[in-house]
Amino acid sequence: MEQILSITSYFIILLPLVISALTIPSKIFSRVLNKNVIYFLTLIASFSGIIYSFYGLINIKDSIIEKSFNLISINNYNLTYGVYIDKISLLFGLTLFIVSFAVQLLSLSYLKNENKLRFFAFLNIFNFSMLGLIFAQSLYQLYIFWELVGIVSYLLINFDYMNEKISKLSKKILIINRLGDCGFLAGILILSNILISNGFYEFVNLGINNIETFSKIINTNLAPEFYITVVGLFIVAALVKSAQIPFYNWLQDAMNAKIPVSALLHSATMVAMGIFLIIRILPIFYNYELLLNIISIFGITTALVCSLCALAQDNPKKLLAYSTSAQLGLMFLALGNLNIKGAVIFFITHAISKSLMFLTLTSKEDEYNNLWKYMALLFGGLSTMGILFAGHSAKEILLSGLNSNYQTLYTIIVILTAFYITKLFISQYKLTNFKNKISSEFFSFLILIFTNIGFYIYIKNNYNYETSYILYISLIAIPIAIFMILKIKPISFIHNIFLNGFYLDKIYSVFLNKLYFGIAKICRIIDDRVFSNYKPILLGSIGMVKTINLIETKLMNGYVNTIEYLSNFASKKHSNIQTSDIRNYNAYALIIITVCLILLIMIYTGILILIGEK
Amino acid sequence: MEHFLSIPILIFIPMIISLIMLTPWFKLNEIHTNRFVKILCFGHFLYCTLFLLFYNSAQPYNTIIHLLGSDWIQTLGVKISFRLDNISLIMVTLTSFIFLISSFISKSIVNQNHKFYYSMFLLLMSAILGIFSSNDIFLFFMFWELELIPAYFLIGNRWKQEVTPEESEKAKKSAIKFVLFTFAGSMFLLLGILLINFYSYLSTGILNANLTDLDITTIPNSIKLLISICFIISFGVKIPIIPIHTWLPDAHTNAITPISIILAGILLKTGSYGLFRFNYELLHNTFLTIAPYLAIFALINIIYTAFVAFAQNDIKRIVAYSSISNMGLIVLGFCTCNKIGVSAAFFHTIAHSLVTAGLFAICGIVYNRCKTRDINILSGIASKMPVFFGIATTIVIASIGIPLFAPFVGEILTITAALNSGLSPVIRTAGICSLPLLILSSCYMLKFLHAGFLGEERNEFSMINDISSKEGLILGIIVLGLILFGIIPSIGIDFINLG
Repeated sequence: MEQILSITSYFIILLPLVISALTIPSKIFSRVLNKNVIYFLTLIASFSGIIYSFYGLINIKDSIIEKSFNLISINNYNLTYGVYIDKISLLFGLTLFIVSFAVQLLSLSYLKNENKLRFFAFLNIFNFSMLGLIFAQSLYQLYIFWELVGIVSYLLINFDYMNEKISKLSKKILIINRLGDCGFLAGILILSNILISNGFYEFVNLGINNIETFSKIINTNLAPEFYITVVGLFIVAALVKSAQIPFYNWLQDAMNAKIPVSALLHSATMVAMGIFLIIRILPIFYNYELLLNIISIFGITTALVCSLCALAQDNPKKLLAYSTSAQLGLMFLALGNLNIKGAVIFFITHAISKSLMFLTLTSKEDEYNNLWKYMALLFGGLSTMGILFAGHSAKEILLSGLNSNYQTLYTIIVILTAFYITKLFISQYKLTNFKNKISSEFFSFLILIFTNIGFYIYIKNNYNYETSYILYISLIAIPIAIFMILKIKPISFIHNIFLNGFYLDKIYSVFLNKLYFGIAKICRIIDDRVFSNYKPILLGSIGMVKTINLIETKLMNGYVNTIEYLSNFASKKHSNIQTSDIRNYNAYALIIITVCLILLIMIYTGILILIGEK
Repeated sequence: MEHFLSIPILIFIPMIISLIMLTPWFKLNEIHTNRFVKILCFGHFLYCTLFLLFYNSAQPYNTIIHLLGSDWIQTLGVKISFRLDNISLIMVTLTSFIFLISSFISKSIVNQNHKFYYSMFLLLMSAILGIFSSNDIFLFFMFWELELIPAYFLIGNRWKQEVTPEESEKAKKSAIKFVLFTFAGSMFLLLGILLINFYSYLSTGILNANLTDLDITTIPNSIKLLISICFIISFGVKIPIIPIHTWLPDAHTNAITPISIILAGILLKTGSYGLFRFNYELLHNTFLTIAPYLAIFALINIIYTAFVAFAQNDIKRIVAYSSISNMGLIVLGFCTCNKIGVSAAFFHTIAHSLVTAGLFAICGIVYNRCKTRDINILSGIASKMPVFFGIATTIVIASIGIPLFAPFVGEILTITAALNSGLSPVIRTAGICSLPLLILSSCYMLKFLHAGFLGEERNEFSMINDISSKEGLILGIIVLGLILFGIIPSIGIDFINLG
């Protein structure tokens, strides 16, 4: 059983990568491997993924399957990769496959130009990297695919790269995402460093199944403040990926991507990876109530702020983006209250219903606005509100595991959710011209709707929960919302704040951008003016050359000149001596010979003495 | 097989052919010369891979040449001795590969003075191979100096007809700058080498200049420190370490593309290789005391240059500064003084050679088509060359340290090694502080990509066409190499750790 699951999982994970790699030869061998084959293979890969996850979920019970291979090994330092299959990874995988199957099916008809092949290649790489993340065997592997997911998101947002606005935004989104990645990497590097320095080399790869063990080790070996900082790095990574406070602005910018991308990446699967990360490393939090409270507080604040912002949005995609941030905030809240089941169930229902709502928004660019699509939107919206099927159960289960401190805020958020979804209903209602025409994309709505209902039935049979006031509050809120949206005009000041998302984006772009540009400019000036400035050296060497020239002309030539002068002087004196008198010459000769002889004798005796001493 | 693998052939064949090329009897035209050099480089690369395949870690390749039946300079104990252990072998193979790529790219660029160009090209190759394989400190120094002559001509001369006078003037100036800087550095190198030779003679009474069995245990510590500092200064010019780095951006920017690839791809690595051989291996104990201070310089290299790179307006200059930043990472790897750090440094050497070759090739292709490298003028060329844009995106993604590409492994291992270094808290801090490189590098590389390729379409670039299949092949090979080392890093790391 384990053998089958683990071996099949390799195929399931690698298949999307192989398919996307096939797109390069498919341009050359277009007869054998034409586009349609690749689209077909893509759908087959997702569908087989769905079957695999179902099969796995039925058979795995509570056991865990782990297979690991060596990535790098230097002495005791081993990094591994592999697959780690448990219930949570299979549940996340199932959701990914269902949503991506629906999205891929819709993309077939949604995209019409020649770039469709590239789009499918990117979707396949996305599936591959998501699977690598979900089935990650170690935190290192989780990080590797975490970054890859970010890059694929960048590539998909920057899909129409000639659009100046989109390409700029995609750059910004990637850089914000890198910020989170940086925190994540710092976290895992510090964790494994602590393990190495305490001699626990077997845990250095930070395997998922060892988390409980090594979190205990780290807990005993680390001061509390430092521990909180390290875990805080992971929390930052999760907050960035899941577009929580204070990073929620990137998700709004990401809405410039194509609708299938928004439906798959930026509402359902990729943004929820923050939740996945926290679920995986949850044992690290157990001993610190404070850390759990931090998660809860970030979650609930984001939910509140983003729900308020969503209320003011006119663009349906932006409204849904804020709604996504808010719902993810609720999942963080659930995790902060250690309600893992609630968070996972909430994630699945949210993914199914939110991507359904996104997929119905395709009408703006084309003319297939119709009744069925609006019905699908209604279904998804009501599910998100917590009225219909799985959405309802998810909201109830979340409430049942909630600390009583948060219940009031939770109720407010539920009411706000009902408000903004109603607003979306009204605005889309105005655009719809109810033609009763079934288009091809209706099949993908159907998949998501049936999944929703099926999941509801599953929860109903397996979990006990009671229908509480949440359902009635939502039901009451809808007519009030309709009345308020149609009749009451918002106060423009507050409306503007909400519309711009509390000006978070502006603060970043004004403050951080300028800071960064300023530092870069200063560094460049230092480099150009200080390090590349050779004037002192140049002037110094010129000065040296001049001094040497002076020495050459004045000193070196000087002694030659002196000799010349002296010999000149001597020759003049000499001419005076020559008197042509023979007696004078004899006298000179006598003096010179005597002096020479004396000198010779002295030297000779001196030499003799020296030799004698030896 | 061992008789077939001869180190002198590996090193001196390019030199001999380069000398033959200078004679008047060599009469091939440019295309044929280029083809000849390409075949030569390819053969050389294959020969290097044979060396790699038959490498036995217990018995590194060793050769001593006796000239006229005796040693080279007997009075100084200098021998022409070569040794290829696993590290040298990696560097030699990398050299061969980079020159192969560079010879492919030369074809479309060099159209003037081709005989002299290819002659100098091969002479430079020989000199660099000599640096990586010599086992004698004087021989090392000889090759170190020999490399300057061809490098000077390759950077400064005019190899293209369509170069403006200002550009060739700039190229000449930067070549002079390069030579002056390196000369100043090699002065210190010679000082260090002479000191080592002298002091080992004083203590042992034998004149010996062999790297592997040089006895330096009896040299006084203060002298050792002096020698270490001399070496660090001389290699610091080549690496380059921050205050003495300014020759690099000029030389890289003003040289033609294949030469930029060689400079960044392999010439800088001679510096880090020297740092490893002389400081890390030979003067290990002294290096342990110096390492924390050097780590500070490495950190400045990494962070400061990343900011400077962001403020540049020339795409080639951005890449040049990015390579300084990456060299800082390699130096940090050595500074950690543990096994992970050294293997990370050499792995990053390989990865960065590939990446930088790719990036400079991209710059060259853009410059070839658009005749400008200014990012304020370049814009919207991606719509005309989508395939090229795709490959460029891949290489840029690789260069910012995204997993599944080789540079990621180098970065993560270097930082891990720095964190685990028990040497000094300074190194640990440097490791943590170099983490923002992830963000900074993505800032400047994305600026490179977006400002260079995307944006409004311009009329002056409406006639450019996409890359040819040959250019695509070169870039494709680089991308494949990056992915190979990224997915299976163990093939590189295990080989580095053999010794």
